[in-house]
Amino acid sequence: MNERKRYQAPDELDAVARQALINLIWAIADSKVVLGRRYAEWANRAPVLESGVAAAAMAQTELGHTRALYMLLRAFPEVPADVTDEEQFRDHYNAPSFLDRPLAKWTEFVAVNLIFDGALTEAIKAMRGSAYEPLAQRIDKMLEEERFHQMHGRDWLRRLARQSEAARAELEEAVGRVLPETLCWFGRDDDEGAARLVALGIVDATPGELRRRLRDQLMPLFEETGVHAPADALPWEQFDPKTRRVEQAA
Amino acid sequence: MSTREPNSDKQVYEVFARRKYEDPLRHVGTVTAPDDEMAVVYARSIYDEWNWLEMVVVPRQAIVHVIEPA
Repeated sequence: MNERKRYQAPDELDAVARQALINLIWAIADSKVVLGRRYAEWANRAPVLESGVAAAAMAQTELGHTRALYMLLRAFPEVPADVTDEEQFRDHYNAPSFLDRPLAKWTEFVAVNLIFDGALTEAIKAMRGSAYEPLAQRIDKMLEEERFHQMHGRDWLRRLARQSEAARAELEEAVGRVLPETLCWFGRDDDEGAARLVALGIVDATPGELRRRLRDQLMPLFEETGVHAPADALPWEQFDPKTRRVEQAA
Repeated sequence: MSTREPNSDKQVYEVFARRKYEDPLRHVGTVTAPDDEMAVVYARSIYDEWNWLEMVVVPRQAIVHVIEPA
């Protein structure tokens, strides 16, 4: 970014920025832990052997990213020790509700790969050249690795949509389950903490801007393949900004 | 609902890679994929034992033999 103050450590940040940065890194790290697990579960079930290997490789990549992100979080003493302890399985992760259970069908895998992995990547792209140095140092490598995840998701969406009407319809259903919560995941438009991170140059986009960027990535592809995104308003009433989850009705 | 791929959709790609600038591109294996993009993804996933400097995939049918084994 430009000639701004650069931050080397948590104690250089004001309270609002600090809390917002913790929330953001925690959400990305937890999401990648669970996403990695869901990818790994398809390693020997994918419709094509090579995609099973790709699923395993993508799982490994996500887990590698979580190691780097939890290391960043450990610098913040207010983050509970059990959160960054990678040996521990927790009951609750700050990850979206559509990852709570294993992905039942390959079409769901593809929707999550394309949409939610894509959203995480947009969030990370917005940290390129971050004013928070420990973050800026890790971003380029993560983005290089994520490139392949995007290619995998896009290619499979196109092929499945072409394969049959049944596959296209199933994909559309999966998109309907994954996209709304993913768009909320970036945070509310009026999120003060997110605005503070942009003001300091730690992140280069607001939640609204990140939503726009993800839509710009996805909509042409949905148009092209005839897999339509739901048109309903986003489920903000069920959205919890702390966990970034949309809690489903019981 | 089955999402199995029909076999007619697949091409064999030869994978070449090198670790250092002074190395030649060396054949490291093959992948089977429906298109160039998936060949890239699969090759990257499968041939990950080294930090490669460069890796390329070439459709086998693009290869023109100069000398062919008997």
